[in-house]
Amino acid sequence: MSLNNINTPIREAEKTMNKFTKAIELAIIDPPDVQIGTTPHEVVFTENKLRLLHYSPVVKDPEAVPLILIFALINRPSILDLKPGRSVVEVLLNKGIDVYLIDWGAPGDEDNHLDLNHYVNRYIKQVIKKVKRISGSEKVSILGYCMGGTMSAIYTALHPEDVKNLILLTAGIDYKVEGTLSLWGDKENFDVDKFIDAFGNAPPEFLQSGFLFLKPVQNMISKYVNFYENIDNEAFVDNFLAMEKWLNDNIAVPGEVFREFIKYFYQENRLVENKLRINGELVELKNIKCPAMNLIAEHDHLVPPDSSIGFNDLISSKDKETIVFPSGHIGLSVSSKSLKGLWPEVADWLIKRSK
Amino acid sequence: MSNESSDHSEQYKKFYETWEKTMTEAMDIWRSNPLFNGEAHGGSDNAAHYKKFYETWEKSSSEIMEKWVNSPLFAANIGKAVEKSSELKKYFDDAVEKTLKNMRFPTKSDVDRLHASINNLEEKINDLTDKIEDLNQPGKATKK
Repeated sequence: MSLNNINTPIREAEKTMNKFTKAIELAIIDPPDVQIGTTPHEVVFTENKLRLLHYSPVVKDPEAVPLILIFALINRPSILDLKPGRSVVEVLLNKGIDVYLIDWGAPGDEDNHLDLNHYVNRYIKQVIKKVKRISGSEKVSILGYCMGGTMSAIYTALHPEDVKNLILLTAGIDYKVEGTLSLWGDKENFDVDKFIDAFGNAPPEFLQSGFLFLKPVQNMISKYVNFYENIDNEAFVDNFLAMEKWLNDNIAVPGEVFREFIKYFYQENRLVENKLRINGELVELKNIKCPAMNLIAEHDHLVPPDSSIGFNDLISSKDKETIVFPSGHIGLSVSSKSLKGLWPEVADWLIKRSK
Repeated sequence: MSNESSDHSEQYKKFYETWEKTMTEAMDIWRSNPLFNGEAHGGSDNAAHYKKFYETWEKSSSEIMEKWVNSPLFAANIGKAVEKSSELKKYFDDAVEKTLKNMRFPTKSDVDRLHASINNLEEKINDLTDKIEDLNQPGKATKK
């Protein structure tokens, strides 16, 4: 064997080792501090941990009817404004929409009593009141993401006079569908009372590990292998690090609202069965009469498409549309495909109905 | 009970069979690797082989794992584990709380109650601010 024959594999092994070390350092040991959620905004209202963000318009005369983004209670809302060029907020602003966002903040142990009624009839109601006052508009448009979508639908059913347009983004409505979370949350398998009575709030580590286990190989192995293979691609690395920052910045879910979500939706499917009462008032989806758009991710493993697809059949709106987009739960708000192919269309739909 | 255990053993069997199939496929690819056969060529050939091996392993492992976490057996077991750890945490927290109370120390519940009172006060201030703003808006003042 010639010296060259030995040197080549050694050099290759060294190169691979260096690449591997760099990947491990960047992804796990010492990830650089990446800024996410940086679109200029002002905090216009606070209550407890809640902050209402108003994004600075980028057009001279933004649309008169403001849009409020209502995020889930799990994870941070910065996924809707990940980084320049990867931001739903940015697309909406560029189209001339006046955008507000509810950042629920990180609940503390003292917030474990906050229930669905408090979120819907106190927080969302207060926010809408504030936005109406700032904008001078009689009504607002709402875009609810995931759990935030379920709460937006509930709010619109209870207070239809406030809502001009309703957009749901991967929102769970019918929970009696096949899905891993439905199976885990089933009454037979999960004693939510015992869990919340002991932990107070649903701890972020519990939620995070649950999500990791939904797709264990992809989340714990493939993701890092893919990162290693693309370590020399600067744009890929930037996006990966921004996503990792968002994914690892988990927050607790207040105990009472978690208990109610599991019981009322996963275990009893009350919303679809017309049995959900908030503060004694029956939530009837047929009370929703405003224009509605239902955005569904075709490959959603958290909220299966079947869980959202029937929403438009349950409401009375005449102007309604469903879009099933070929992406996953998170991809619907961060993939370049959806930011180019879906969100401009959503913005146009909204603008047409905001006059 | 016997029914339950036979269901479980059926699931374990399915899981094992799928795992065995996967590993056999992956090992077949590995065995056809020139390195394994002592016929090492250039680096790119080997890299391509590793990649193929990994992709086969990844695809089938994902399928097995997803089947596994989607099985009633997994859901029941993980539910039991959560239930037992909840019982343990509650027992421990209650013991700490009682001990601190007996020692006349403020407990976590006391601090939580204090925080919640501050939050209630903030809500009241926000309500009052709202009322003032309503009164200051000509033609929009409402009677309550």
